[in-house]
Formats: sequence, C-alpha cells, structure tokens
Amino acid sequence: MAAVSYKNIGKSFDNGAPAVTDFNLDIKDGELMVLVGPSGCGKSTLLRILAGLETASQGEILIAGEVVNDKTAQQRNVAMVFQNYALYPHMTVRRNIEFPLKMMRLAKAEIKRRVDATAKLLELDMMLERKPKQLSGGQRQRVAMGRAMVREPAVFLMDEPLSNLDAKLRVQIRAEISALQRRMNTTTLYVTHDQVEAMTLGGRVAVINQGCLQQVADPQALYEQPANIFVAGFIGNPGMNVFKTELHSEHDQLTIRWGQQQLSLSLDVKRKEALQRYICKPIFAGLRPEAISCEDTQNVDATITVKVESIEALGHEYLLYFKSDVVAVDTDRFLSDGEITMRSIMVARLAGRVDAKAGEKIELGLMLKQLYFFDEGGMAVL
Amino acid sequence: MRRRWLINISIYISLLLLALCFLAPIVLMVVGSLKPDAKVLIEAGSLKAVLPDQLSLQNYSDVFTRVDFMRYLLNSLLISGSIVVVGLAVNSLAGYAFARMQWRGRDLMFALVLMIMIVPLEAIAVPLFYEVTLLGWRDTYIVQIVPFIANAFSICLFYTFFLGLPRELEEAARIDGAGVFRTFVSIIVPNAKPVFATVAILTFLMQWGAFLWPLMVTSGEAVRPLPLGIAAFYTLPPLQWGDIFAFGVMMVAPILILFLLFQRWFVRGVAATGIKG
Repeated sequence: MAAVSYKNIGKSFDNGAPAVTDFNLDIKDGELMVLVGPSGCGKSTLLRILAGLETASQGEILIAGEVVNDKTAQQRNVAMVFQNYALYPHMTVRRNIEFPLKMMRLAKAEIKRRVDATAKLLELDMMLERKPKQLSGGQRQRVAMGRAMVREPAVFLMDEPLSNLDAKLRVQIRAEISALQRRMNTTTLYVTHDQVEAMTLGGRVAVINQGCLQQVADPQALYEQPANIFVAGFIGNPGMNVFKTELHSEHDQLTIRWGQQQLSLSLDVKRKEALQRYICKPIFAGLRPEAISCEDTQNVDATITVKVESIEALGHEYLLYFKSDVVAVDTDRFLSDGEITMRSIMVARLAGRVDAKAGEKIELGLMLKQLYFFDEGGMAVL
Repeated sequence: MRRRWLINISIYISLLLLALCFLAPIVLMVVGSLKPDAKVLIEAGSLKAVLPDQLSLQNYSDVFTRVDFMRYLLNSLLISGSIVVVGLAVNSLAGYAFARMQWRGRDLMFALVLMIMIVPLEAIAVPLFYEVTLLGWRDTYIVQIVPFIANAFSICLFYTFFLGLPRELEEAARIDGAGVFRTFVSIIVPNAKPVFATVAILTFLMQWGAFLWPLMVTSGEAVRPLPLGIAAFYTLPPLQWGDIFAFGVMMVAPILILFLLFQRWFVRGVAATGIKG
C-alpha cells in the first residue's frame, strides 16, 4: 500500500506534440482513483508513466513518498491489468499467475500458497490447468486480475480492463473490481474512457482532456459542480447543453437571452453577486438534459418552443433531440483549437412519454434554477 | 454442366503434367539408384527408365565401399546442425533487438542487414577465403560453420514475426519483473515456434547443399560435407551413374524426413512470417 503523486509531469510524443502537460495529482493510500477522458487524452500515457513503461519528459513520480522516475517497472512494485489482458498464451492459468512470484524468487511452497489463495478468491481454482484460449472473456479478465493481485503490489494499475467484455459482464465485473479493491485496500489507478464506468466505481474521478487535468472530485461533485465546460459536457449521459447567451439586469432581476426571448432568473444572492460582473457581456450558460421537461411542473421557470429533430426511446426515459433559437457549444471540442465549435442540436431527457414526431414544434419547460454559468474561457462561475 | 466438367478435367491434366515435370528427376534418381550400373544410361530414354525389370542394392553398397559415406554424412550433419542451432539463437536475438529494443543506430544497422541480403556468397567468396586463411581456419569445421551463422534473411524473418507479437505481452513481463533476456526466453520464444521452425528448415536446406565454399576451404575428405562427396565420384573412375544416384538418394533422404516431420510447423511458419514462393 502506498500513496502516489504525479508532480508537474510532462510528456511529449516523438514528434514533439505534447501528450501530457504539467500534470499534478495526489492519490491517497488505499484510494481508488479513476482517470477518465476521451480517447487520446493522455490517460493511458499517465498510467504507463507510473508503471515505468514510459518515461516522463519532466516532473516526478512518487510512490510512498519516494521518487521512482529512475526505477524499473519491477522495482516500483506496481501491477497492471491490460486492456487485452496480455495473458501469456503458452502458459496455463497457474503458470500465468505464478510468473511474477517466480520473478521475485519466492520459495516454491510460498508461490503455491499464494497462487491457490488468489485463485480461490477469484473463483479460478477449477481452471488452473487451462490455457488462456480455453477461457471466456470474463475468466481471462479474472486471471489478469489474479496475476496482478498475487504479488501484493503497492499500487494496482488498470488500463481499460473491461472494454473487451460485453455490456452485461462489464457491469458485473465492475462491481467485483470495486468490491475487491475495497477489500484489499490497495491504492488503485483505473483508466477508462467510459464516464458511466468512472462514476460507478466509487472512487474519486480525475477528468483529463488533451493531456491536462480538468477536475478531480467524487462523482457527485463532478456532476453537480463541473469546473469547466469540458467536464460539464463529458460527465452526465448525455452531457450538459451549453450555449452562448447574454446576461442582463432589469430592476434587480437577472435575465438571459434565449433567441428572441428574455428569460428571468430567480437565483440566490450568492450566485447573483457572482454574476454581476458578467452583466451585458457574453457568457456561456449550461442546462443538463434532466433540467428540461415536457410537463409543466412547478419546477419549470420558463417555456420555450423547439423543433424536434429525433427521439430515442430508452424504455424508462426518452431522449429528445431538438433545435432551438440558441446555438449550442460543442463541449468536447471547446477551445481545443482556440475557437468555439458550435452544434445546433440540444438534448432533453424526459421521463414521460413524448408523442411528437421529427420536424414538429413542441413546448418544453426549463428549470432555470439549475442553470450553470461559464465565463468566456469556459471556467465555471459560481 | 458438361462444360464445367471439361474445364475440371483439363485443369487436372495440366496439374498432372506439371507434377510429372517436378517429380521426374527424383523418380529417375531413385529408380536409377536401384538398377545395375550398366543399364542406367542405356535405358534412360525408354519406359524402362521408370519401370526397371531388374532391381538391386548393389549401387548402395558400392557407395559405402568406394567413398567414406558415413564420414561425409556426419560432417554434413555436424556442419548444418551447428549452423541451424547457433544460427537460431543468434538471428532470433538480433531480430528481437531490431524489432523491439531502442538503441542508437538501430535503423542504420537494420538497413545494412537488409543490404547484406542481396550480396551473394560468390561475390565475397574470395575476400572471405583470404580472411579465413589468415585466421588459419582452412580444413576445419569452423570455417564451414562460422561464416553462415549470422544470416540476414533469418534475421528479417524473425524481425517480421516479432513485430507482429502483441507488445503488451512484453510489457506485462516487464512489470512482472522479467528482464529483457528472461522475457525473450520465457515469453517470446515459446510464442514464436512457427518462425523458429521455418528458419531452422530453410537454413538446414540451404546449408545441406553447400558446395562452393566447402570446395574452396577444404582439401581432405576428413571435414568435407556430402555435396563434395558426390562430386568425388566424377573424379573417381570409372564413372558410375548408379552409384551417384544412390549417393543422391541417401543425401536427399534426411531432408525429406525433416520436412515431413516439421511440415505442419513449416507451413504455419510460412503463413505467419508472410514468406511466399
């Protein structure tokens, strides 16, 4: 068990393009930390730097308070579960699991004891003599876990360990990993591109984009208080609708512009004060799909007319894609090329049945109390 | 329907003719080796060339009495065997270093290795001859083994195969605590059996027929391989074709056996390394 720290870590690709820039993150002893971000954001690189499979161009990696930049993968005492499991195909399950122990030159009896205990814990004891190709995806995944656990490492690294499993098995093994981690209380870094997976594992989540840390928080805080537009769009399924608008003040009442309409905001004093300096200036506002409703409930503060683009029925809920008078911002690519990319479609998540067809106009209610604000640089305004 | 049938028949006939073209020399050699020496050439133009009326093993026993066949055979086995075994170790390690390790000058070295592939032995035979003479290696086994251990073609085959192995296997081994050499021996080699088999067979075939180099660097029977043994018959009057054929059969037999034994691996290796033709 050990705490892990990334200190000012930077890493460039061979062609000089930055993969990770000035990355700082502290992971507590025994904590489960999830690194999440879109493909190519640098999260796997960060994991590999910690594992010793890649070297950082700058900065320090600390495990248990000790700088490990110059140590080999083995000396760092970390174990890793790979996306494709990387089981040794020519070895039986037993030989796969005992391989790291053999490398540690442990006594035969000790090796056997540890392998048997691990196999029992992971319910692999019936298949120790099988080869990886005779196992199902889920079983292979467990063997990979076993090979990592059996060493009793200081840190567990998991690089998208569930992405080769089917959806149902993924949910099951996700719960198993989470339970196992709590039971063993080993510091764990878990990389995934799937925000649902990140949110459900139960640890703190670090959101990464383009090699930069965007926000670290527990899942609920990420959802409720996103630090910037990227996090707002990335966390949540579907992500937040963010649009460009203007803030005005009439008779001490703040309003925002929605197309031709001015919508009055009823905000608490603290938020009002925070927004004062953005009056008459462009600002980004965000509304979660959950804060849009097709029924006129008491939470609804304003109604708008929209044109239906498409409807996805998910059984227990409906996703309504619509076009409106405001232009939505592409949160995934916000400021990625130094400019703002727009997309015209917004989305609402509706609990009740919607009897509209594509192309029709309908009325939707907005819960403006749940509005988020971001400044021109995309940072959240309290 | 009838047309389809005709096409099939003509395809089979052409295939049969092609097969005959390839098999004929081998059949003639085997049959010739079993005929009395005097009849070998006389019957060569008739049907009796392949259907003899009289069979004997006289030629085979002649081979053993006229030359020291066992000596030639053991020499060939020793030389080709050593080149295969040591070559597998050297060339696989080289291929691995080129495919997976990072070192200064790697790409330049690999380009040189590729270039060596197109230089035939005949082109460098004379300078090489001077070199081994200076080393005092003439008339030894070493002179027939050492120059052929490192082989650019084998290195390339290993290189291509190792490139195709998933990198995660090596990374997993590294994290599990295995060093480079241990990873190579415990993880890479067991997963590269097809390419090892392919390289072994190709090298063995190439060395088994080596003629020019042994002729240049050896002078006595003691260290000479089979191809020089068969050549000895031409300078050993009377010229008896039956004996030469019998020698030929005994020289080809080990290769055929080897191929049949490893055929499965060989075919898989050819598929895996992408060699054609």
